[in-house]
Amino acid sequence: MTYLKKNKLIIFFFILGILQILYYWSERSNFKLQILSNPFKKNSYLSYILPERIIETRKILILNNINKFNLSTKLRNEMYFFQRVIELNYPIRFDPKSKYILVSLEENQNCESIFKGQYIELQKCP
Amino acid sequence: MPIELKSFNNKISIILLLLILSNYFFMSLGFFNLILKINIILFFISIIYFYTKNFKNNLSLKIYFLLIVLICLGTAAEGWDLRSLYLFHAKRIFFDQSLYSVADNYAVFSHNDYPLFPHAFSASFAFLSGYWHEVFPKSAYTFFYLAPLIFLSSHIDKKKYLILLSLIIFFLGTHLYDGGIDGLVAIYFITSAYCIYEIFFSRKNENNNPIFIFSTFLFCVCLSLLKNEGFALLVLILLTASFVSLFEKKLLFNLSRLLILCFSFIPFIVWKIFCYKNGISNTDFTFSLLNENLFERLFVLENFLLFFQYLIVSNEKVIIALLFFAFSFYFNFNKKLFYFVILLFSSYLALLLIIYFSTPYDINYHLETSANRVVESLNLLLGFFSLYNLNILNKTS
Repeated sequence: MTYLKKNKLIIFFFILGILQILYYWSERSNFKLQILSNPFKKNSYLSYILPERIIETRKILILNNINKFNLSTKLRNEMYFFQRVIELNYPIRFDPKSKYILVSLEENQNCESIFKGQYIELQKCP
Repeated sequence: MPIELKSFNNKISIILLLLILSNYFFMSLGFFNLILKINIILFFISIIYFYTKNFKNNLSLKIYFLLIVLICLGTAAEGWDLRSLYLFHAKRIFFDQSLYSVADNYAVFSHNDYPLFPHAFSASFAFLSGYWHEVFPKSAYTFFYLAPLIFLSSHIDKKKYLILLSLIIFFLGTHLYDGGIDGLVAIYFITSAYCIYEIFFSRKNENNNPIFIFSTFLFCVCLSLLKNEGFALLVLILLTASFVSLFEKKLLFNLSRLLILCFSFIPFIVWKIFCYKNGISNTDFTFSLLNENLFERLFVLENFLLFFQYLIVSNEKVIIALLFFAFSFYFNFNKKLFYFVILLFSSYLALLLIIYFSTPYDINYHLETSANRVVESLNLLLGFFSLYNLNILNKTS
């Protein structure tokens, strides 16, 4: 009891720090116990943070053994999609000269279809 | 704090800094093998040693840090800058096994001119695992906080240190675990500013010994290599300290120390020469933009209003930091410290004004997307030195 009385300020600020961390944990983070149970997982829990159509590009490129890829103008103009696809697929590189092009299914691109996914299609242009 | 514990904390922080810097050094020489893994294992052993030896020493920091690391390891890599810039650079270092592959200027959006020092450390976490993944390498940015936090604990009394930790959690918030670099810049900035202030103006012998100057040198190197802003802040600290020294007629006395600390610029300058030779430049700021945008925007009052609105008025954390600063210096007006902090604060604000006014983007958009991050260094500067000022008051009374 004497310790508590003597160190009121220390205890107050210690609890304040803990409360702040708890606030950030519960309100300002997307904490998942599943991630903490294995933070070394190879897939990096991408499904929690990236849209399916972005993750799909990686599946398509790996499945078809592509080293360099291009994106349709529409996809290139979507800044979020463009940056995420480039960083996610590295070391597979984006190259505007590549004949392998990723297009979204709504687009009309007149190249040979190589692979059709749920959202994205891989085409080979001459 | 007993002298043995103080010395233990100082040694641990120096060891951690040396291991982080040697990691970068090995990578810059092209050693991506066992040496790198041993280096990172030694880093973790040092942390375990810090936690287990003198368990009660720094207990609050140990508990807070453990909780923050757990949050970090329990969240996926989500932030825009984290994915597009920081982890992407770490990924490139991992796959290319080189720090110099950025010479191809691939993916310009990733700011290839930024120093790779923190990302090299992040990549080494992936090297330790043997494969690329994101969650564990992301935690490297959180581990970066430990060295300055341990160092500061031995230079400020226990109660003030707990308040400081609360302030750091409050001001840096999510940056502590989300892999943001701006929080790191802020903490290395205040640590370097504190060390330089002590070296230049303190009468304490313990802060003028070679070990303290060596720690300061290491903090300065780290600050300059974290980000371009870090280098700018280091230059501002040294300029401010020189100016206040000149005012105090002590510049000649401090000249040798100033020269030693200027050597900490070398790694950053070498990196910039490498970028210049490979045609890699900053996309947000060039000297030609000064002519194009800065002078034009300087004559529009609305731009100043926007600038102060985003950086000060509508940011409640800055208001709190300013009030705390006013409160602290009202109770103990330490003239030298006051001028040092105010000069540093205003010069950084002026630098930010130049950068925002010359931005190639819409000024409103640029402020909206980044003001909250860059202001963290200012908040922590005011918060830390207000506390330090009260610490001096306690000691003298």
